[in-house]
Order: sequence, then C-alpha cells, then structure tokens
Amino acid sequence: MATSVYPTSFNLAWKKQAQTAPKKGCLACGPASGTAIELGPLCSTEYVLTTLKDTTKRLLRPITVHIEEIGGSFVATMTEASISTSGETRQEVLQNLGSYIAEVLDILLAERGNLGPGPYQQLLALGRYFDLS
Amino acid sequence: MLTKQDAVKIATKLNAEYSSRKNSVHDIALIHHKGKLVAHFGIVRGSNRDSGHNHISKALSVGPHFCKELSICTKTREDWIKELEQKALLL
Repeated sequence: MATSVYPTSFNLAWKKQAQTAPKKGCLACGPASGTAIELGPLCSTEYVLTTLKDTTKRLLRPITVHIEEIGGSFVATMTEASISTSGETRQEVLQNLGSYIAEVLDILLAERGNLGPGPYQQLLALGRYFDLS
Repeated sequence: MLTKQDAVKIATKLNAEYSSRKNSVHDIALIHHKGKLVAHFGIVRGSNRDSGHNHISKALSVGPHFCKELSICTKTREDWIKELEQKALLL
C-alpha cells in the first residue's frame, strides 16, 4: 500500500481545497498513515473514491465526491459528472455511489448512440476517469 | 424528504425502465424521451420504504419540491419534460 496512486498534481489540488479544514487522516492535509484506502476522507464534506468494485474498467484517477446531509440522510455526488446517490450513513452513501457509477458507466456505454445531453456529458466526464479502451 | 416510496412513484410517473444487476444495492431507473436516454437515478434495494432518496432531484435536474409533486401526481411527465426543455437539457 503506497501513496503513489495519488499523482502529485492531484495532491496539490486537494491541498488547495482543504486548506480551511485540516483533519487528521485527511488525504489532502497529509495522510498520517500514508496508506491508500478505498474510501478516503478529503475534508469534512469531500471524500475520494480510489477504487471501484463491480467494474471491469480501470480507474485512472481518484474520484472526488461531495457529501451533504439532506433531510436525515446523506447524498453523495460526483460533481464533475453530476451523478448522485443517497444513503443512511457517509460510508454507505460512498459505497452506493461507487457501485452506481460502475453500473451507470456500463449503461451509458451500451446506450452511447442514444444519449441525451445530460447523460452524454456524464459519459464524457466519466471518460476522463476510466480507461474506456 | 424524498423516500424510496416516492422514488418508485416518480419512476412510474416518468415511464422509467429498470436496469437491475444481480447483487447490486440498487435498481436503476432509466428515463427516455424520443428514443434518447435523458435521465437516470438509483433506487436502493431493501425493505425500508422510508429510506432517503434525496438524490433524485439532482438526477432529474429539478428541485425537491418538483419531485415531491411528481410523486403525488400534481406534476406530470409532460411538466418535467417542459422543465428540461426550458433548461436546454433536451435536444
């Protein structure tokens, strides 16, 4: 397990985002353990997905996820692709989002020729994160 | 708050088709318009009908109030399509 999965450029970007909320163990503010984890805290409302289950596509770079609490449950959003899911806990909603992204990617690829503007933009965004070749 | 029960009603109201993968934690509601996939959202599997599904308003590009109205039938699929057209989210 090593931090090398996080390219330097992304670490720099995350550090800029998290300047106001340093948190022990935060990947952006200096991970104490130096280990790569599947669901890593970035700051109080932003997390990163570094691996996804249920997909044959290779993840090229970590996905930043924004989590907000709405009406007693949590909503996780991959902002760049405008993809969201809900869950009862932060851990659950992150896992749900990872699983959802993997499934939606397959659906968008299967319907590649029949996508409206929203899903088309989502596929473009996901294409920057996954090896689709 | 939008619940799983609301999510199922909204999917029905929008004539969604379901995509379900074995062992997945959710079913995916796919909404097509004129042969194009225009939106999708997940409905978490499980028995809790009151579990939160507040992500649906983002997925449908409308506010939570609009979604609630879809679920209680004061808004229709046509109303939603008009909303998307006004936001230039349809071809």
